[in-house]
Amino acid sequence: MSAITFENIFKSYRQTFVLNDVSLILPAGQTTAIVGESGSGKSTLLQLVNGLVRPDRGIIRIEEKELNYQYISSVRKKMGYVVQGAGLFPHLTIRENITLLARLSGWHQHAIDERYDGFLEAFGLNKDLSERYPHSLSGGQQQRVGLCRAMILDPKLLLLDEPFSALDPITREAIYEKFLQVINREKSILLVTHDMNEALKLASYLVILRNGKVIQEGDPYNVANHPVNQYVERFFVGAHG
Amino acid sequence: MVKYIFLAFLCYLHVSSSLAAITIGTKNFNESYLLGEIMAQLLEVEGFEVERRFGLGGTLVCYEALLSGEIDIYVEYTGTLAQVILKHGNSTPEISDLNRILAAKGLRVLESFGFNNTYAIAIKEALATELKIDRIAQLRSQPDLRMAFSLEFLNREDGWPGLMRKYNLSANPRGIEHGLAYQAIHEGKIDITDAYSTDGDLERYRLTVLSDDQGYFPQYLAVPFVRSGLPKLALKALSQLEGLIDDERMRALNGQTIIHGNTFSEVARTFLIEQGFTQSPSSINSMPSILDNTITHLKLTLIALVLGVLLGLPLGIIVFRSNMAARVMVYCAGLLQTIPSIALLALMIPLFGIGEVPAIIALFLYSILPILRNTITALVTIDPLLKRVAEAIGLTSAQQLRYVLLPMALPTILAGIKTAAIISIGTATLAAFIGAGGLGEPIVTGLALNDTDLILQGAIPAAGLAICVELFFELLERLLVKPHMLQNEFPS
Ligand SMILES: Nc1ncnc2c1ncn2[C@@H]1O[C@H](COP(=O)(O)OP(=O)(O)OP(=O)(O)O)[C@@H](O)[C@H]1O
Ligand SMILES: [Mg+2]
Repeated sequence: MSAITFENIFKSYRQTFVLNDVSLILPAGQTTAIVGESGSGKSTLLQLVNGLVRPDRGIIRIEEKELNYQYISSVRKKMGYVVQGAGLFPHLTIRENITLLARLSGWHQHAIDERYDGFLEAFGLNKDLSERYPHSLSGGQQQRVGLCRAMILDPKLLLLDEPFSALDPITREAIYEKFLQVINREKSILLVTHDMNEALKLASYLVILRNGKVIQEGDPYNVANHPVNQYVERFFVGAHG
Repeated sequence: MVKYIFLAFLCYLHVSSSLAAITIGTKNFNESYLLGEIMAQLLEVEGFEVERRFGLGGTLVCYEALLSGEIDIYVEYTGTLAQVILKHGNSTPEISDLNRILAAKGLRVLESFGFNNTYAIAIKEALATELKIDRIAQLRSQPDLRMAFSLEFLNREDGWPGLMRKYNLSANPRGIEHGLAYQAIHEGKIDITDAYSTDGDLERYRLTVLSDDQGYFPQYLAVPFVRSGLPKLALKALSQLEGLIDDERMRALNGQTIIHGNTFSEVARTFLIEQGFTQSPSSINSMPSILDNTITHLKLTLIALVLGVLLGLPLGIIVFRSNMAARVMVYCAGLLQTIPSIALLALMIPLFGIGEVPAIIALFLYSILPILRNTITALVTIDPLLKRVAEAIGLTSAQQLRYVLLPMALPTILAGIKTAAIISIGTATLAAFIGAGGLGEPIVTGLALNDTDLILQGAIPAAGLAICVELFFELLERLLVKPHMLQNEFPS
């Protein structure tokens, strides 16, 4: 079964194509990395999945079912979304940011607390941060809080837009480990990144985007060993899976 | 049970209609207050219950109030009636002429009190005696006298220009602010100025009025202006005042309040005793206390503000997502704001009469803009990324508002409500012009009497209220808003 299917997606802003006939079938229960240079359409592709962006043409299917825009907010609750740049709510504490959705979904306080504490632990966040506000956190801390918020309802599908970009290499390595444990191979993940190292570490499927077109896709090591052109090859310079 | 309530209600209606009070209004200047109070006390002596709606903001307000039955009586001047209200060509009409026109509107005027409060040419008594002049015509032979007139008099066609032609005068008068003219004449800087013939200040500065021997100035006879439906007995009682007060007497009465600082109530009572209408020296009526005024003021402001929030906030929330609708709304509310408050209050009279209701509605209309505008601005300017996140994590529209947008907009919305509250407190002082009471009442009366103490009795509590409101909102902000969410905004 496929987690997400894009069928002949076109999207343009003011006559310029951002996505130009994109078709993809992304495997369920795996992590797909979308790599491309800045402005290539990665975030747009991601936002098509949760309906923040609607295609001009084409169809998006989630687990084979066409995306239903009419009940979009309940569809969205089944996807975790980490926006590029964390996007924490400034008026809520760290605890409130992370647990907001669980509280609104009527979870038992006990269950919320348990999951919350586990998350802090797993992502290396100090408990002291709980009652603080986002503005007083570092960029890397904020990104991890954003990740926790996206995963609080334990969604089967995760949409991650450069979730680790503000981390130093040491913390990043540690978080990769934790992350792989937390997602326990059950989840389908769409990971946008421009860091090929990250893609090789976390993803089992790789999509390379350029100017709104898919120029290569497949198993990351396959792609690394058989780049279709020099452009793709350049992405792997310095990368060491 | 229901039947008894109904019966009780009928009884109430019956009792209240048999005791229906006569409502007396006055304009907001000394003489009008005084005559209003004299009529009020006379009617009370005759056994009527009287309600006082004093200090209404000018001819138009009084006339509309009378026409709509909000008041039953006020004192008008025949010249004003003819020109301003009836737009009658003849500026010195007969009482019977006026009544013929007024009958159709259900109104009438009674016979004059006996004085004519018109423009007058005033000169120092001592100087007049020295020069042996007592008529305007004699000015022709006194070209050396220094004249200064109020700008209005100087420029009105029925003021100096006409006077000069009529009497063939050749002087070249200067303009002067009316309030300063008396001081100037007193200190001998000028010799002649314009005045109103019953002005109490004429007494104070020992000025005499040159007689208008060729009948140039229009007649402004003071008359009770009443609704035709007034009880016969009340009309009869009022008719006793006919011809009782001549120019000199009115000047003296005015002087007693302006110069000697007696209250209207005291002066009216003394007058009625002297005229033999009553013996009892006790005065019944007193001004409402500062506390009463403050409470009324607060009530007007608060109700208007609550209504403003109830409309402005939801409206802002509904329209903020549409750029077009938001613009239209803010534009409309802005348009309301540009109507001068006095004009807005006057516009309210034909629709809602006078008193608290129209005042509250006017204040409410003014409070919409700051609340609406701040609500829209606050919601529109929230970081689009956060709006996107709120949507993307699966919050419904209502949840987005409740948990993200409104809490983030709160500081700016509160600031809007605060602005509205402070504007309301200031504007509510004008509500006294349409008989709504509040802290404007002592201010308006004080202005009419030139009584600084009285003005301060309204102005100081009003300023105090404004400060309290400021502090209250600061406290509210501290309770509701996290410090890091405040953008150090300063009220503009
Ligand atoms: N709302 C919008 N209106 C107009 N143009 C847009 C809009 N959103 C995206 N674009 C344009 O679409 C193109 C692709 O944007 P997108 O955000 O998908 O890029 P990206 O691959 O995520 O880049 P980055 O790595 O810098 O995040 C860019 O050229 C961008 O300017
Ligand atoms: Mg992007």
